[in-house]
Amino acid sequence: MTRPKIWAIGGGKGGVGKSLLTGNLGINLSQAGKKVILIDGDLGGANLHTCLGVANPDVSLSDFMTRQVEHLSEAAVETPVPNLKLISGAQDILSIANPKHAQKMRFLRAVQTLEADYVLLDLGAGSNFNTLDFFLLAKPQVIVVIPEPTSIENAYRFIKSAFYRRIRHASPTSQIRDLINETMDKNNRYGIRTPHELLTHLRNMEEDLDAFVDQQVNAFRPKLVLNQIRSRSDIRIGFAMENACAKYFGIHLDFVGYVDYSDIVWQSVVQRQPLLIHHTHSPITQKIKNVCENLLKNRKLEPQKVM
Amino acid sequence: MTTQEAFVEEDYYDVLNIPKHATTDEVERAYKLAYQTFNSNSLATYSLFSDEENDAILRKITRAYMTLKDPVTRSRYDEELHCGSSAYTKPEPAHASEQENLESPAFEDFKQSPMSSVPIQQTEANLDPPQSIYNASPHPLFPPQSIKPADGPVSSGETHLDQIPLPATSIAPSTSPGTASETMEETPIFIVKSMRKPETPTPTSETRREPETPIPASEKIPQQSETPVLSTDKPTSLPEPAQPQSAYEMSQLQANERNRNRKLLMYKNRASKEKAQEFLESIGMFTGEILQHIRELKAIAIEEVAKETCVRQVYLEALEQDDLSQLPSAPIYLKSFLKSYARCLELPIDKVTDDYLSRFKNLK
Repeated sequence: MTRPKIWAIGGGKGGVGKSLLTGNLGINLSQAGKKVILIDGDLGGANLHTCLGVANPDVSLSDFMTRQVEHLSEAAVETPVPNLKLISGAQDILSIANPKHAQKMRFLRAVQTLEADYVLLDLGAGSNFNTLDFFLLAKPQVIVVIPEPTSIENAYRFIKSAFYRRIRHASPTSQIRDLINETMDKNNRYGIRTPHELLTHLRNMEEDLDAFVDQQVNAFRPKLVLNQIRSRSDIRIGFAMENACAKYFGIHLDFVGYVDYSDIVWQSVVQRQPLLIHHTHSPITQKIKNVCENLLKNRKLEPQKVM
Repeated sequence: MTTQEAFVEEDYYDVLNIPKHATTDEVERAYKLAYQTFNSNSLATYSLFSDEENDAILRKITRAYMTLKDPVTRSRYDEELHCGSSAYTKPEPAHASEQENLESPAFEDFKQSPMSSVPIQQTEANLDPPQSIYNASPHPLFPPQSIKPADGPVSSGETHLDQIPLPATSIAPSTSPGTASETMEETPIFIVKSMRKPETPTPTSETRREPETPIPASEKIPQQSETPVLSTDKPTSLPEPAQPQSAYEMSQLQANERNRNRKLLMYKNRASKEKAQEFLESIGMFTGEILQHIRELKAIAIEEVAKETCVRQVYLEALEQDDLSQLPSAPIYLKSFLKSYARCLELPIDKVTDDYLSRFKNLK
């Protein structure tokens, strides 16, 4: 049995269209004949099922977490779309919104053994450890932002937290882990204020850490999707964020696509009719398909082609 | 180590995020993108970098661009880079002080220097701190020896003249023969002034002020406060609120933005001074095309000119393309646009307007 490819869709801020994008990416993949399972990883505020037009499912992630069902696949319900299953987020049980470490690990293991071609994880808002761990499990790791300061600020915070968590987890010695822990605080004694500076500092250390740093930088390549753009000039923000990320974090962000702001999207949510099924000819639908294609082919947008 | 320092250690290719073999087009695009990214109030950076950091990065980007867009300076830079010379990668003297230099002392010097009578070496090399920063590092664009007036246009211009990407035909001084070459040789640095000699034999005291390029743009805008750039330091260093609370704050933000734009213009004007002057020497007459080339030479985007002059960008573009049909029909507009444009690029205003308009006889 081959392991499924896991995609995560996060971004720090709520209401930027993570669930909507997850749902429609899932539909696009399943329309291409792939077996897809969507997981609503927003443990405290699940609503992916609504985006897909599925009534509140009988089973959910809560049942898996509380061991009502043994296998994660048993928590999956069919959707109106062939090949597409949904594991709904936790319903109403507060304790599940903050799973214990063992619960989380059991879930992470289970996700990797699901029988599907693709598993899409819709993450909740915020940068808590659960969300970060779900995010780091996946590849590609998608970040959704909208052209608003709050969203972009949160996205950076999310990227930073994820990167620090990743590099700390992977650090070869406890000494380096301590260094990373310390530098997460802006007022540390090394004067390291940005991830970029941390990386430079690590490279300059006596231990031969170049390979480690290179590997960390190359392996962490979040994908950026810009949602709700209102003008062509908004597209620029995507490239600008790539650029700023390189300067500030020292890591690569791949701008993979953008989706316009549109009443059709709002309509599709209100009517609980997924875009890719009920608005097949809308330009928005095409944009989402482009995002999906770029993610599949590991491509990114080129400024000269888009602008 | 601060962000700026980390940034300074990168080579110019890293600064613009381009591979070593990038084409001139790619350099151009990368610069545009980087400029937009680190421009003030950019959504993508406001939460990551302070205004000072943004400014420092912008300066670095501009310098990288000025070097890499020109094949000659670029190949020289590549050589240095290849030889492992630390000259370029070494952090330059304290960024903080450079920041200040850009603000205050430079202004004092420029204001005090009696316009053209001061020996050039003194104004350029000794008194002017920003200039001396360029000169301190062996920058390919600003080799210290090239500002000596004794060298004249021949020696200082030999490498740079042929880099100017203008078709030779369009710069042939056919309309005003001899103006450029004859008069330039005496005063190569204040070329702008001497160019104007044959055209306007009796310049008024007001117009005489204009061509002396060092006067910062802000000084020339009377409606602004006396020391706009000096005062920007404090307001811009505050973290900008995401949502302006009131009309007052909004206007403050806009004022900051304008000041920043102006500072950048001044910076670019100064950084490209020598180059622009060499180019000016070869010009017979200002046309739209020439104006555009000067602007590009100074690495100033048309958006920046539009922001500074408050002239709509479409008009400026039409101006550069000599496309008068796009401009308001009353000639007075054209003249005023030209004046603003020339002021923004620190060009001799009268010469620019006279030259430009003389080609359209029916307007005069």
